[in-house]
Amino acid sequence: MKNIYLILISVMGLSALLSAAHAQDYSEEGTQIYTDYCEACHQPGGEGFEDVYPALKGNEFVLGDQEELIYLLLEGRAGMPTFIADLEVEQLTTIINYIRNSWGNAGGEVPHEQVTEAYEFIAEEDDGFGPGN
Amino acid sequence: MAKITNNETRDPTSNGITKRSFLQSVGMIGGTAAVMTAMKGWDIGFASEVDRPPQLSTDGNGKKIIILGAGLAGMVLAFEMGKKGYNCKIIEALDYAGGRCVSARKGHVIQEIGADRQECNFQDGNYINYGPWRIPAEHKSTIYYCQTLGVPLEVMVNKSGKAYYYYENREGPFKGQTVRQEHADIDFKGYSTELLAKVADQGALDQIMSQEDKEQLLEHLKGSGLIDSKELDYRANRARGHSVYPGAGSNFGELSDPYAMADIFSISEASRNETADHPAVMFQAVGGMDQIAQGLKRAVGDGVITYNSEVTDIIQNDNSVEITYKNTQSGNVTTESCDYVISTAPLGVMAKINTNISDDFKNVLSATRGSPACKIGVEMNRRFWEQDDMIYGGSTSTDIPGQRLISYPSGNLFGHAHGDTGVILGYYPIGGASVPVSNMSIAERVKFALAAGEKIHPGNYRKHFTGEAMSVAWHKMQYALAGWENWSRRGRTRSFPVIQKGDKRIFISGNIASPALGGWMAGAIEGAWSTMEVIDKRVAQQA
Repeated sequence: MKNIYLILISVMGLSALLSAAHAQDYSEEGTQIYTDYCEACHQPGGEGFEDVYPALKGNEFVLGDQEELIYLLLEGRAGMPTFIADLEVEQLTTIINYIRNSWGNAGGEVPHEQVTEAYEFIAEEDDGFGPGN
Repeated sequence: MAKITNNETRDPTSNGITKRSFLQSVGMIGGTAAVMTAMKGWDIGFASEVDRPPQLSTDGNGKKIIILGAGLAGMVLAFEMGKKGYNCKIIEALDYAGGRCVSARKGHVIQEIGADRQECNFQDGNYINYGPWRIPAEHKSTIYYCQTLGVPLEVMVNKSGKAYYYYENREGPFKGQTVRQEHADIDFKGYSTELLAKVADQGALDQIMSQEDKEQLLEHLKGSGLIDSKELDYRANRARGHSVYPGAGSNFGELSDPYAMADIFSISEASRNETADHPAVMFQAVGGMDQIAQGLKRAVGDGVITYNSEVTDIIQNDNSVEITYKNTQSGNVTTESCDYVISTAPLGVMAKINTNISDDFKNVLSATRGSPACKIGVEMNRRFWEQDDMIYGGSTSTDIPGQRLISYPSGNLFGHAHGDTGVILGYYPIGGASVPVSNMSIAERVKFALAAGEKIHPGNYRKHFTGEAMSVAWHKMQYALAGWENWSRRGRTRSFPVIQKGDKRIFISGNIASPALGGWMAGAIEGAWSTMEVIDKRVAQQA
């Protein structure tokens, strides 16, 4: 099992290098996902809403640790919901890269493989609890 | 493993130790995770197991408790701890008691962040439970308060076989068409019965079951009335019902023809909606679910709740906690000291308060998430779903993005209580799927709900709309910021056990303290029960 992770990590490292060389353009699809799933709270332009919803523009968390950001989108955090059931891995990759590289943010690219790995890890941990209500 | 049914309250292997006290002692030794493991081992699950508040061992020792939030959890804490002698005070940001346990009826106002103000103008008697709306039988804690506080409950029909499935995003013969749930559900069951009976009969299960069991299985399958006993074919039956209804004289009616098996596969998934905690028959408070909050408010009594007060700071030291709050109307700032603070505030709201809780505790709190949720109540001036469609309560399940379901009111059936009118729950998307709906203006939401409803009830839905609707996006309500909170999968196991201990003098309670009951009223109530027990033990040790 450990070996698989080692291989995965090296593949990820390699693809990160490749991705950096051929950075994808996430802006078109990212704009749509942002409008549908983010803008209601984080507002147009990633400006946030007063002290209620944080601005994503210039946001330290958004521009910080990639793994933390991926898990935030997949699992939610504090008031923030999870989008694991609503967005495909590709869409999650797109929106992560979109918010890291829009409105003057220059967070660089998060490789698809890294999002996929976290996605599968979480799915594996699913203990069958759905949402209440 | 010895199996113990849910009804048993004593562990037969012990000397009169109740299951509850056993779990408590497990908890003291091994923490919450150990309790959960023990519960799982007993096969009693995480359902609302506790049916009455804990017996507190102290009379409060003169301790003063300040509680954030006059929702169900906050009021349960003040009521139960106050009864024992604790000096409890609730600080509430809004101008009413109940928090998310609320109903909209004439005069009620909903104000979301950045949205138009809505004032309800439903006809007298009409309401929409835009917060909690259904109570399963197994939520004994919720039912306990309704019973003891004199809040009458009535049946809430959660599933009606006459309601529809409507899928417009799946290929197949039913695309864009309504299908009665009883037809689709019974056809799926019928074909499954046929297939199982045939493979069993042909010996395909002989490797995994005895001859005797096989015969019994076949007997049960034939006894279902869904398959004929010779050929084992699924066929028209009385569970599925009639296309021509039987009557007097020689009218024996006509049984309806099943749909083709392959076609049924495109619509049967929604039957998964029915779970033990979402059974067909559930309960609701007569006249609106907010009556439960009102019952607790009466029980708490006057002078305990301070309204319109937004907490800005919670600072603790070794001997006390100082809490500062601002009156949202006058701007007046008050600082008060107490022995313990219990926050039942939604965590998104709590996060904005200046506190000196430890970094560890802060990290633990971030292992939770808010769940967005949207609802709309659409008032109708004729109960066409009853009169034209024979639907009395229950929900139509749809795959229209952002809608998920239409639920028909279980109150005022036949219009007997207050006339031929009713409020339909026009959509109820939860989680990420609800966010696009919340991005619509209030007016756009009504348009969206009407367009979606018209597909299910063409010719009726728009025509009988009175023009009055009330919608909410819980994640855009300033003092909620989520429909409910629950724990991330990792958080449930890794972070949750830390929560219950509290951070010195600051405790987190409410639905966040009930990870398996997030979003349920039972979660708020039992979260409160568990917190008061922890504090009471602490106080007992100091005495």
